[in-house]
Amino acid sequence: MPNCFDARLAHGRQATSGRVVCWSGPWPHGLPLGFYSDAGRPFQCFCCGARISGYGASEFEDRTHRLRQCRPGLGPASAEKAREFPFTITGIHTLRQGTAIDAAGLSDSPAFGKRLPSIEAFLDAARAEIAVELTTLDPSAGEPAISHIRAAFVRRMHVATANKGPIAHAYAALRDEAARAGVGFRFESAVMDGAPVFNLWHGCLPGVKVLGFAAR
Amino acid sequence: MAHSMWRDGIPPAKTAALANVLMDARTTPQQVSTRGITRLTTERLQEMARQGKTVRLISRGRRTGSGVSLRVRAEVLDRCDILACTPGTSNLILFHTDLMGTFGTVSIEPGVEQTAYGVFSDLVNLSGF
Repeated sequence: MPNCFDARLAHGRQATSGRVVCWSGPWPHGLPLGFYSDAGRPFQCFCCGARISGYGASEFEDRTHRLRQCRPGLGPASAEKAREFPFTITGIHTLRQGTAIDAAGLSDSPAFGKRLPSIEAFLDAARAEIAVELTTLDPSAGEPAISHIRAAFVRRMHVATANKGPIAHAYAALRDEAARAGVGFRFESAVMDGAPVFNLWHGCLPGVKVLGFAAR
Repeated sequence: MAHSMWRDGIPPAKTAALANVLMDARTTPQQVSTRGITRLTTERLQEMARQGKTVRLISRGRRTGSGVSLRVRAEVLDRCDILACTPGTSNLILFHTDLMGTFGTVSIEPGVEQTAYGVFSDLVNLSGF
């Protein structure tokens, strides 16, 4: 069985330079969480949208505001993490707010222009190595997230998604396509909101067969 | 509508996702057997509370001779059951395994920050830092 986690290593590709592109759902102000960093080099990798965790847009904004106001330690912590993990976001694509693109890296307050006409156009323009997929989807089919992920694989981009739809509807196919493209496919947030499930199983339990599970 | 939500909604998707990755089930949410809480009455819930029991929505999967059996049920559990005793929106999963017995992981009332961390951990792993 191809291993989606280590396809990049299996194919001998070098580690990425951390160029990240992300696209998100249709909430009006869908800026990824993390743009409140006060770091010189923005720590922009907290790319979490509202609806994936059940927050409406207004709640999300309020929560982000409270994070800024009530957690003064967050800024320096972000700065420290930014030095440790210097990701650069080269593009953000949202349904309602439009698209922000800068292949050299977006600023903390990126300027959004007209929405590019397709995910494919966005991915081509962003020229990133990793795509973060947070699209609002149809739970009965897992689309359009599945198609978006495939568009990234075709462009030899690694993909991280927080959507459970692609994993629930098309995991085996996507795993195999990622392996053929020589890229990684990660989805740790898809089931338990970031708590390690898949990484735990993959990284810490060699040789273990899962016979069953119970979850809430 | 309620049936559609149960058939297509988040609990079956979670169950299918776990089974697809951990058990190579190659299934979809539509193939998960579901039964919700619509048959529970207030009187029944009060009776269960007096007996020290509670109701939780539980996803279960297990290997069978013919493949994988998956279901989502509103289960009646003792309040001290490990699947029942975590608060509110907490996530908990127990793995039943061949070599490690049963073990699990739990996240107490996670929110958007924990989901964001999951994406971040994926990025770190993909980037090879």
